Amino acid sequence: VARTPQLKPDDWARAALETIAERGIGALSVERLAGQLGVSKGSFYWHFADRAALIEAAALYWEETGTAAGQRVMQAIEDPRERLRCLFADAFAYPRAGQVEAALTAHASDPVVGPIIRRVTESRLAFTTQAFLELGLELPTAKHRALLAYSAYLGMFAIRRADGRALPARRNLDAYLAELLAMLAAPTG
Amino acid sequence: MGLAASTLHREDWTNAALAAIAEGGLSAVAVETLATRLGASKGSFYWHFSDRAALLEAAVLAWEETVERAIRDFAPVADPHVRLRLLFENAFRRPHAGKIEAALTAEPPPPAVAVVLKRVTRRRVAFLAAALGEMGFDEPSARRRALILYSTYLGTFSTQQAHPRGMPRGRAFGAYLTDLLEVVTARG
Repeated sequence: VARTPQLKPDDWARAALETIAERGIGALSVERLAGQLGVSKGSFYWHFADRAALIEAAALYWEETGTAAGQRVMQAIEDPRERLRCLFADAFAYPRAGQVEAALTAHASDPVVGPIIRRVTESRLAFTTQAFLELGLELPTAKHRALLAYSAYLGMFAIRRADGRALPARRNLDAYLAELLAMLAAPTG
Repeated sequence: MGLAASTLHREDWTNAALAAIAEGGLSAVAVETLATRLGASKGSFYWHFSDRAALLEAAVLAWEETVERAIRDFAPVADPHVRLRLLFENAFRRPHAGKIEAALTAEPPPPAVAVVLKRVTRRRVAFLAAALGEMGFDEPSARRRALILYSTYLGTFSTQQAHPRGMPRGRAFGAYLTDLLEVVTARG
């Protein structure tokens, strides 16, 4: 087994997220992960107190790379419609990300993961609401549309898991997202 | 306790299994835990089911039957707008059902569950697409809209779970549903 002494906490967090995306939090085992990374369990305990600490680190890593970093980039896009288009394209293009969301959300009542999920969800909804406000929608409508957009996003991955062939093929994804955005950006009435 | 056990039906086990799925996902279905909850012995379980997999399959088949019943109930409603409104009001009124759906797709389902999940998904998307077709959308558009509608329905439960205070409640939730149906059925 190759020694990888330079393994950092983020490497563990990333590997943990991979497992969570593929098989859910329940399938996460320190021993299996160590085997995957080609290191000993001892090296794990050098970085983390226990499995729960790893799950927390993974969720924090997901918060930073999956939300905070993206929002900083998107925030620079001045036109709200274009910002939403980029946001949707980015969000829907990576099924793996959605699987992480679905797996983590199933544990929303967990005392460690729960607050992180709430924070991420709140921040994403606020970010999207802001764009709909800039498009000229009233606050209550903008809030609804952000909730609808986020639910459509989460639900898409649920459908993917239930019946992968029900979803538009990758080449048709742009048209699908354009239609979704046009619907959500439409004024009321 | 013993008396309860002797009068337990298959449905008691499948209902308990569905409740466990809603609360803790597929992995929360454990024969021993369910037996304790039902005040029954494990022996009474094996009188109805050969193993845990058989129980899981029976549970999702029971869930599929509630989906089919809803479709049967609302299919006769002539106006497709009213039909969708009633369908979703009914679906959202049962938060338990939504939790089951979110739980079933949170992790890769075992094969027997996957088969039912796929069937239910196709049935529902087709039902929604048919209503949208009656409203005058051409087939590709009706299908896309049906998918958007269905994914938003499913995702609403996850959003609610992820951020309980972010989702409107009571009458405000009615307005959210109205907005969803208007957005999806509006002519661009």
